[in-house]
This record gives sequence, structure tokens and C-alpha cells, in this order.
Amino acid sequence: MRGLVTLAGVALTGLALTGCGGTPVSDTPTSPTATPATSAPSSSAPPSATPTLSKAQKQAKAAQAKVLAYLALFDDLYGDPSRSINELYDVSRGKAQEDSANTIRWARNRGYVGKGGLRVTPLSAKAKGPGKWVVTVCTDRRGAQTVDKNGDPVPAASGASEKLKRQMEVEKAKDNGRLYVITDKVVATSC
Amino acid sequence: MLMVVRLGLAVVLGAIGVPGLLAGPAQADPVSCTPQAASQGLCTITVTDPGDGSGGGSEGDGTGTSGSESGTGGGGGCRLDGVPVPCGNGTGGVWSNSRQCYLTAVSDYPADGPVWGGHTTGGVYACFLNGSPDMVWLPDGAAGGPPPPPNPADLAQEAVSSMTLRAVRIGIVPEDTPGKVGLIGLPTWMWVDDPGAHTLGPITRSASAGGFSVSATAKVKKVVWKMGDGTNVVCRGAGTVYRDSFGATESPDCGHTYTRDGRYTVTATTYWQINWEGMGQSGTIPMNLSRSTTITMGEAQVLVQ
Repeated sequence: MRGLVTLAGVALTGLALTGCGGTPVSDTPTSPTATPATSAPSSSAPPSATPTLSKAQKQAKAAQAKVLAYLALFDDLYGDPSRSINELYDVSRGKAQEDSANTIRWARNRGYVGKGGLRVTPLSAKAKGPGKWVVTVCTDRRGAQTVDKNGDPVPAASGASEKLKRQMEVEKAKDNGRLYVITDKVVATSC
Repeated sequence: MLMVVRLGLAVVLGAIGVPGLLAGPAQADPVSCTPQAASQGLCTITVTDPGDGSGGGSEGDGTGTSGSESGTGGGGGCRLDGVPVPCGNGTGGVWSNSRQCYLTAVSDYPADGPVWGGHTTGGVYACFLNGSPDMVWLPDGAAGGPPPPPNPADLAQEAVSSMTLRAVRIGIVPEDTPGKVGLIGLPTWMWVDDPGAHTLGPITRSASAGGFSVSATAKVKKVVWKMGDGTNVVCRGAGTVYRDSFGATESPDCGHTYTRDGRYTVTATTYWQINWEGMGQSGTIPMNLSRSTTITMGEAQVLVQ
């Protein structure tokens, strides 16, 4: 486990969370800091003064945690060809899973491997409907690099943004009650 | 290359930097740019945000569709990064352009396995090219699913049909024209009057479908002449065309001698051996084609050839 996702400068409890039907408390990105890389984000880091979260806020927080786990897992699989792409099914379904699997497969077919990891800044988590949330994050690839089978860096596409604002939909599965990231899309090339 | 990603109300235009990345399951087009790839800098997505700040809205379909698919991404058939690859891997795997791997149905995948993703229909497939396969779920008959491979025997039949094989035109002395009568006791000569690839072979044709191809070669093994008097004459070749200079000699390779007068229906049947192979299989197709004519044999006082 490379622990590729760096949760930048924010604890989950400090995120902009909102319950069903509410508006986000904040949609302002937290400024990235030089926070050392961590493993998959955890919600266990206790702030000095733990606020009391409503049920809706807790659910949104769980959805956000799922997104971060999903991004961390992607980085792990992208960087370690020996691991099974099937692991994506633990955290994602639908198009998010499919696109992730296709991208990793695409890279593996060419001998590409990811080094380092994305720096992820959670921006917001909003309830979208029953059992569904929309989580927005900012990803920063400045700490990540794709290398080819010779270990040489694969140049980034011309004009590729270093930061992308990505929005993911998290859904509570009816068949097992677990949360899954089901869609993942880029909504802005800066954040 | 350009890509358009529908994103709720937002319009997202993308300049693809990496061919071969994939779109949604309904997209046969293998050229797209996923958010995951874009985040790694492997391709470029330019977003035009209407600025409503919501970003959420309708999820749309989030599916990338390619605009101009040029260069290595173009072309039909089975392709990996635009380079043609076999559509079958010889072990039942079928190439998926959208997945960039060979798909093989996994019939014994557990019903409660995670790959089902809550689906109760469709099927689970192993997706592999190099290394260990991963598993994917595909809906029944979905556009994103692997097309069923053609039946190679059907393709072989198609190849055979394209050969336009036909029965031989009969060459025979005595001739089968009114007034011509053969003499009892003198040899009858038979030959194929129109020898060629379509009547005797060999002839090879191929048929393709869905990126698969089968090749078939047809050749006549023998020509069996039913002489109408209960005799079957088997000739291995086309026979020899009779010339007047041959007189009353016997055909060197395909002849018969009638012993009774009468009208005889002579039937020439070509027996074909058709071998086909493709898609990791092979087989043979039996075929025979016949044509008949009628000759008259008479006593010595009758005019002969």
C-alpha cells in the first residue's frame, strides 16, 4: 500500500457538510498545505473540539470518506500492477468503477505505473437524495508521476491541468447497504 | 482529437492526449479520456463551466464521446491503441474495444460476488490481456458487451457460397444432340467440358464477420458418372476431350462401353472436399453437384460419331 492519496490540510470534520435538502456550509477549497502524505484518509482524527454532527452530516461524512478511499485505492492499484483491479469493487460501482478499471488496465497494458500519488483536498459533500450524495474534491497531481516500463516518466498531455475539480456521486447500495462511488467526473480544471 | 463530455448543464470539451482510454460501456469508441486519466495528466479535459456553482445537478451520463477520431484511434475491427489485434484469442476470448481486453464469460462466478454490483441480470466476464484478468459485469445484450462471435461453420458456409461452385458441363461422345447415336461396343468418352476453379477447384475463399475470418478451400475429389445402364464410372480428373483422330480407341482416363442400345441418362456428379479453418477451429463441408444429359446408343448399322 503506497498510501498515495494525500489528504491536504483538512480533517474530515472540517469539511463542508450538509444534510439532505440543505446547502453546503462551505464550498471553498481548503488551501493545500505541505501536509505529509498519509494513508487512506480516516475520520478518526479527533479535532480538539469535536462538533456534534447530525445524522445527515455523518452520512455525508461517510460518503466523503468513501470517495477518499476510492481515490486512494485507485492510486494504489495504478502504482502496483500486482494488485487486482477487482479491488475497485470494494469501493465503487457503475461508471466510476468501470472508468477506473479501464484506466488502470489501459496503463497496465502499456507497462505504465504510477509513482507518488494525487493530493486530494475535499471540498464538499452534499446529500442529493435518499441514499445518494455528491462529493466534490480537488485533485493535484504534482506529487504523482506515471512512468513507463523502463521507469522513464511519461510526459503529461500538453495542457493537462495539474489540479482538477472532481465530483463524485456516492450511493448506498440497496442490495447490501454499503456505500459506493458510482460516478466520477471532472467539473473544473482548477480548484 | 476532441471529446465532448456531457456534464449536467455544463459543457465539457476535452482534448485527448492519450488514445486508447475508454468511454462508457455503451461507447464502442475506445478513444476517450476518463477523469482518472485526466487526473494523472495522461489526457486533457477543458471544462467550460456555466458558473452556476452547483456542479451537481443532473449527473448526465458522464460518458465521453469522441469527436474526431483520427490517427491510431481510427479504423474498425479489433484494435488496441489503434493497432489491429486478433478479435479472438483462440481460447474463446472475444476482444472488447471498449475494455481493451479479451472477455470470457465466467459462468461460475458466485451470485453474491461484488462484481455483480447489485445487478441480477447480465453476466460476469473475465477481462484479460496481459497478466491476471479482472472481472467485469456486462448487461445482457448491451452495446458495451462483447458481440457474440460468429459461428465459424456459418462463416465457412458463407465462404463456400462465394465460390459459386457449379456442376460440370458434360462433354461426352456420342454427343447428346438429336440425331447422334453411339455405336454399341465402341467406347464412350466422358470429360468435363468446362474445367476450372468453379467446377473442379481448387478454389479458396474467406468470409469475415465481427473481426473474425474463416478460410475455406474446395477441390473436387472425384467425378462419378452414372451411365444410365447401372454402371458408375469414377474419374479422378476432368477426363480427356475426344478428338476424331482418336477413332475407336478408349478414353485413357474416363470412359465406358455400352452393351445395349437405348437412350441413357448420363449424370456427372462432382464430389467436393471443402476444408475450412479459422477462429481456432476447422472442419469439412461435404458437397456434390450434378448435371445430366441423355445419349442414344444403337446397333452397328446406325451412323456413329
